[in-house]
Amino acid sequence: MTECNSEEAGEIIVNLYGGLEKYSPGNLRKGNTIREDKVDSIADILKFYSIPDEEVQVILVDGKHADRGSSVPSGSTVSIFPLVGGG
Amino acid sequence: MDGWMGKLLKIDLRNKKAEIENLPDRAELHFLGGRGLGDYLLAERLNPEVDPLSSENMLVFAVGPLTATVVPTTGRMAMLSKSPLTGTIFDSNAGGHWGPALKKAGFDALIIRGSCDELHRIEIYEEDVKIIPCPELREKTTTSTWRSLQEKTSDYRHLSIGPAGENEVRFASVAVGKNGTLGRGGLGAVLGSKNIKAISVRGDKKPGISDEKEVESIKKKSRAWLEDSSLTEGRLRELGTAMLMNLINEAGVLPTHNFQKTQFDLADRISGENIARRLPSTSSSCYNCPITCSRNISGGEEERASPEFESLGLLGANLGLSDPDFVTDLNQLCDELGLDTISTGSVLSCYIEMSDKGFIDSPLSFGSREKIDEYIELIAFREGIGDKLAEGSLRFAAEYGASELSMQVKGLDIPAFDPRGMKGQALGYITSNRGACHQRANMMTWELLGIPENVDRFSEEDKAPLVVHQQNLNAILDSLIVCKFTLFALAEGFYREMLNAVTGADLSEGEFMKIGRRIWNLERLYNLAAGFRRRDDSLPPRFKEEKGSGPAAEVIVNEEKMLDSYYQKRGWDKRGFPLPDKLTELDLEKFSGLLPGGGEQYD
Repeated sequence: MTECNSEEAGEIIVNLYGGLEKYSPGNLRKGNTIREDKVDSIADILKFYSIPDEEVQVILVDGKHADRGSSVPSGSTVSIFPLVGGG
Repeated sequence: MDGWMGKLLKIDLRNKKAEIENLPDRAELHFLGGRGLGDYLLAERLNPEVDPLSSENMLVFAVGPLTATVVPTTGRMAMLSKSPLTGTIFDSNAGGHWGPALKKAGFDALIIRGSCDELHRIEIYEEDVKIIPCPELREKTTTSTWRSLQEKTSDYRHLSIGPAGENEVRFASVAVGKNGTLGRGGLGAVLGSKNIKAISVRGDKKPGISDEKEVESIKKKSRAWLEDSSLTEGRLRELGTAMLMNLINEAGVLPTHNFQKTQFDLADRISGENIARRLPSTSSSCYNCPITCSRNISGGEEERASPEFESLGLLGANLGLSDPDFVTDLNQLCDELGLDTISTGSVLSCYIEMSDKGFIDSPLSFGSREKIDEYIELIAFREGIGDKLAEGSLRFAAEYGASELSMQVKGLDIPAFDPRGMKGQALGYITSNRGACHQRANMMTWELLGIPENVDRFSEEDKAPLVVHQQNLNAILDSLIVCKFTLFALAEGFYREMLNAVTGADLSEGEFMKIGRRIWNLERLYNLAAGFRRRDDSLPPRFKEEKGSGPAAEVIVNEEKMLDSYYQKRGWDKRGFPLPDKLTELDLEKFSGLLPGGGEQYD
């Protein structure tokens, strides 16, 4: 699995919020990208960024809730959050 | 019983007399304190048909059995009245240090009736009550008022209104100390209508504690759990509640352009992460609270409060504004003038949409900062069009025949969670006894965070039992009175253990949860007596006819079916009336006179 630039086809966009951006090689909150053919499920993305399991509370794929076993279609946006709260 | 001070302080502004009354025994374990105690006192003593801005309206400030104990997060207090914005019974609660000071002065609640002819402030040092003219504070901002009071009486804790409260803006707030706010429902206007600018309180008394050893153990356990949670231990302190912004936006439930869209392209610019990175800040805490979620932005001439998520939602995304410095300035301006940031953002976004649709001319537009701050000032001082905007979005829009463009329930503006992508939240808004409020049911934890377990947020099935449970539990937390952020780290049963240890009560889980049901039903009874009916348990047409954005692009709210199952779960009839046997079950027979028509059976 390698990072690729956003112009390349077959990519998945990964957003890492709430402090999880520290696991992005570029410390990027929005717009990290991974080649789709290297990802079978969300678990692969968490592994790629070495995000500890206990730090992940919410996973959205194109805004809809997903879990670690969910597949990730090409072109989709995956957003990963720790436990956030307030209101 | 231990935990309560057993006394109410009553101030009548008509004759400027103070009187002390014993707390009724049955109020203690039946209504606890805070919101529940305030509800009880209002239902017992205030005509539900009273004009909220008349001298006859009554104010209650109430604390709870856990207030000013060593149990963490027990610095909160509740303020209640009949709301000038909604016309419902209304409670607002805030942290800080004022609540513990009222309890240390020896009182579970302060009741204020009548009004003064000129602007006054109140000083309470235990039984010694002074009602003092304060013309020098007229139209002073909240910070300026706080500083002036500190100079005079630095050993007191203060709450005050800004110019908006004095001018009876229907969504005027109350500043509690330097950083806290009683934001919603226009209770600042009720203080203003009574010509009371500020209330300062101090005392040296202590509540009795039934089981000191057990309370100490609870304190240690709860602190350890709060410190064990990444959220309550660190993230709230580092990012504040603004950390919600990206989640709410990505999930397609962020109000944008007066709820015409539910995603904002520039949301990340006003996120907690971006604000924390760009603007240096410090954090501060309420009385006896390890969470320390309140954030202040340092730098510049004056320290400014860092906006909460709700303020960023309504003053930012919903107005199409993405400059974090500018939105922080707007938030600060509202705080200084004493305006609820949610309703201020909402009435301005309503005004802009009305202008876009030809109901009225406005120089404001979505995405433009031009004149926004000027119009906020016009509202606070009721000048020009500001006088009409100060009536709140529903009254304002209705005057121009555009009431459907006011995003509210029962007159209370909808906070920064769009109900289309959160059906439980939608039901919570519809049925809330104070109008659209995200904290009554707080379905965000279930529907967005998956706590305690995942539910389908787009589904309308099976939401009623969850909403009822959440409403009952939160009514208890608002009455103990503790901070709801503890729910992210503490188990529900723990709150009952706290109450039993402090007071010496031996409540079962069933008896404990019954308190929440009792409080909820009493509020409903009061609102029925004030004229509210099933038709008022309803969202604006937008949410039932127009779809949202992104993941919420295919959803609308079907509220009638959810409402039927909610009433059924509550044990109410199809009109939403709690019937006499329900009142008996909840020991509310005393208030059966509030039921319209005596509560005749309905088929």
